[in-house]
Amino acid sequence: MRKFFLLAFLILMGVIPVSASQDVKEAETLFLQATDAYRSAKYDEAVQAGEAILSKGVESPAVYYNLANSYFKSGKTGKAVLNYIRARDLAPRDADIRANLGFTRVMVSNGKFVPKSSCFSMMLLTDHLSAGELKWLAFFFFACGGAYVLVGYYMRFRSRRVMLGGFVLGLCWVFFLMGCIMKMAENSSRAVCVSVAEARFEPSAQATVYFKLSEGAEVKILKEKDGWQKVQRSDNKIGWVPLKVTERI
Amino acid sequence: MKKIISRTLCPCVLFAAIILFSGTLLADDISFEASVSASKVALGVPFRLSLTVHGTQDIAVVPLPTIEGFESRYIGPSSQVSVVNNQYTAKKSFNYQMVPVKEGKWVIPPVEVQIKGATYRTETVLIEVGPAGAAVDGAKNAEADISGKIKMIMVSPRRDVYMGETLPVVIKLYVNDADLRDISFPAITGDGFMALGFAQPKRYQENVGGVVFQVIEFLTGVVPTRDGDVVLGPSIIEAAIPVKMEQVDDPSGVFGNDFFRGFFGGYQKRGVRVSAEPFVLNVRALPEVGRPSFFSGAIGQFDVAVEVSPKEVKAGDPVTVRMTVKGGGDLKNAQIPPYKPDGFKAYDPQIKNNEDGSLVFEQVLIPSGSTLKEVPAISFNYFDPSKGQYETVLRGPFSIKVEDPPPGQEFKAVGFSSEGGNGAERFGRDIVFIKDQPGVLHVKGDLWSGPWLFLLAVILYLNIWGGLFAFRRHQFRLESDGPFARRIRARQEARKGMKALTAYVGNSKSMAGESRRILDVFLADVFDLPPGAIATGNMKELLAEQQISLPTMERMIRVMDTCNAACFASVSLSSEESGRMITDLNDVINDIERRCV
Repeated sequence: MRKFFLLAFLILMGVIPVSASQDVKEAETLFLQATDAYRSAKYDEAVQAGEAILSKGVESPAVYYNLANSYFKSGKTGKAVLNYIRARDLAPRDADIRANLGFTRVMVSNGKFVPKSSCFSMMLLTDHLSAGELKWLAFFFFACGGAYVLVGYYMRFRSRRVMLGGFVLGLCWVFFLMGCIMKMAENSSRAVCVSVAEARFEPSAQATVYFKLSEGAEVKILKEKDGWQKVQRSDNKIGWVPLKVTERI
Repeated sequence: MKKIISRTLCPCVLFAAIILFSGTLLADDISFEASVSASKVALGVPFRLSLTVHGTQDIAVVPLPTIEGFESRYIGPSSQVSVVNNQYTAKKSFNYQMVPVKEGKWVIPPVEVQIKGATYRTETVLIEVGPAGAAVDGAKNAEADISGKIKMIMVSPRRDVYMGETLPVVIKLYVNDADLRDISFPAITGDGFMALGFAQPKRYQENVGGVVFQVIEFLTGVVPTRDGDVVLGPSIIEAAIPVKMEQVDDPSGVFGNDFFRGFFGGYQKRGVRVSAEPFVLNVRALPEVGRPSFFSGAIGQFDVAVEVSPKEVKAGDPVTVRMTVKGGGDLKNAQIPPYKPDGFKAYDPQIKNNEDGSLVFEQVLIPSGSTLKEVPAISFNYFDPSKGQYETVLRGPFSIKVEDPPPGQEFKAVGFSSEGGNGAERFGRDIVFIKDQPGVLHVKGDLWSGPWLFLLAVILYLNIWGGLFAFRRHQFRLESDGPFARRIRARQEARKGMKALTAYVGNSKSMAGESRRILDVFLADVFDLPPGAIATGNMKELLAEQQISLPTMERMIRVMDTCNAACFASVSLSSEESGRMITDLNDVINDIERRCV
């Protein structure tokens, strides 16, 4: 049994990285092709190359960013917003990504209906840290807290001192853990309209139109049913749109 | 008390004295006039005639002579005293009700009165008497009803004007015996000019042809925007007058009577439009002759004042040149000629329009050195329509004293250009260019970036932490729990002793002695007993309590017996017996260790 686990571990450590490195090399080649196409104003080719990178399961903030730029230049603002948001989720402090996302949002709906960050999420730094960073920060403080308690145990610190240090580090851990949970919860339900759509009162093409969603409008998906999605706009208006209209982030 | 009396009573007495004797003090300002409440009336409809003496109240009733076409009845006097801005005015009116008894145009002749020996006479008043019931006929005749009661005129001081010049225009709305409400500001129709906003309208009374009108005067200005003949007006005012609702037949008769009609609003507002006659302006273009090289469009007559402060500065310190332009005319778009004197760094001028219509230019100059002795003259150009020519006002030069700053604090104008534009730079907007490098590419969900690594790290950490914690806790127990420490030590000592037994091969007595010592120490440590307390009898009971199996107990007794025989009875052990003894000892130790340690 021990030999089986050792073998599995070696496969995981060795075989998967080998296959992944091949995909990464191909992705780098495609990335160069995409940038060349973009410089030559062949935006459709740049889009194809960018999508090919993502189809290999390879990603980076720059890949999403360049793909979003290509979509923007080819007039598909919905896809542009989608990929800018994906890029921002990976690199939330990248100024170029934030600038282009802001500019495209203004182009899409004149800055209206952009999801606003709540005070709570701002406090938890979810706008400035990615979900992965928040996750590792939470783990870091958890580990620090544990290590501090252990050191105190070894060094025979006074219990009050151990509790105080552990409490402070524990608070940090809870802080980032909540940020991480909130970010992941947000990401799981966010979507962008990739085409113009009409949100209706019921999941039916005959239902009354409630409001319109422009291409690139950001919505929150509440429910899916029979090829329709129940979406909520940032002004809290809720309606039903066909599934194909939106794409999850 | 005396102070209170002197401070409060005396001014009151003085004021009363002024009021009482004012009739004589201001006798020089006496006038006498006649006014009627309406100049057009219907036969049989009464109106009011007032004979008013201004400037005194010390006068008896003024009798009215018999007037042809009217029956008159004295109603009574009314008086009014007012003190405004220390100006005392008083008047007394004698009111008569006049009832026309004949149709046609009639004249109320002048009425004479003697006041302090002087004779005063009113003007004649013309009254037009129409047929009975002609003027009052409900809402249908609202416009006819107000004709003669409401009129409007629009006047300007002159008709010749220059293009761009502000021409004052006065619009007067006359209202007599009409309840005009919701009066709008006048709208001056026409093209070729720009109408300015209206000031707060003035309200006063004016006697026109013997009829007292309430006058609302609107003051505005117009600025012609093209030359030639420009028709100004007509100007229009929208207002409303209350008119009686038409009679409605109500079969029930409940709401049809006058009481309920009056109670529930028997009047309704009816919109009326009053207009003033237009007039033509002769607009002339500004002459090209004499036009200065810099003319920003200031038209009117202006006074220009310039001040420079401070007069004594260090090089590099700012000097403010403030020009104030006042006068009648349009200054909204006025500018001063470019003012960049040599030896000074000049900032763009700040222009401020004050509420009183004046304009202030503030130009900040930075003298570059102590060689400068004066601020050069500054000019302002405008067109004077009364003279029909351009004027250039030159003020200065102004003497100043410039000192060199202390060493090390010399003036340096970093990044300053005196030829810089004054408009805000406009930037284009587009997306930021693509990135040249892909950054760290990774496969979604792989070992190093996905959740696996995180999970691995968490598990590893928890294991290490748990291990370290358990180790430390074990150490603590060893330090604090004596029986536990002995039990742990028993196992270790027993293993060590078993290994050492190989050194006694061939010496059965020593081996037996050592074996017995190992067993005694082990049992004493395991059961936390003194080493001397180990005997076959008590060990049986102890092992039975610990539920040690019977074969193990038998083996232990056998080992003890064998050791005792070898040590104390000098029985020599064969190699087989020695081997069995060691095996038994090993089994006993292992079994007790498994169950008790």
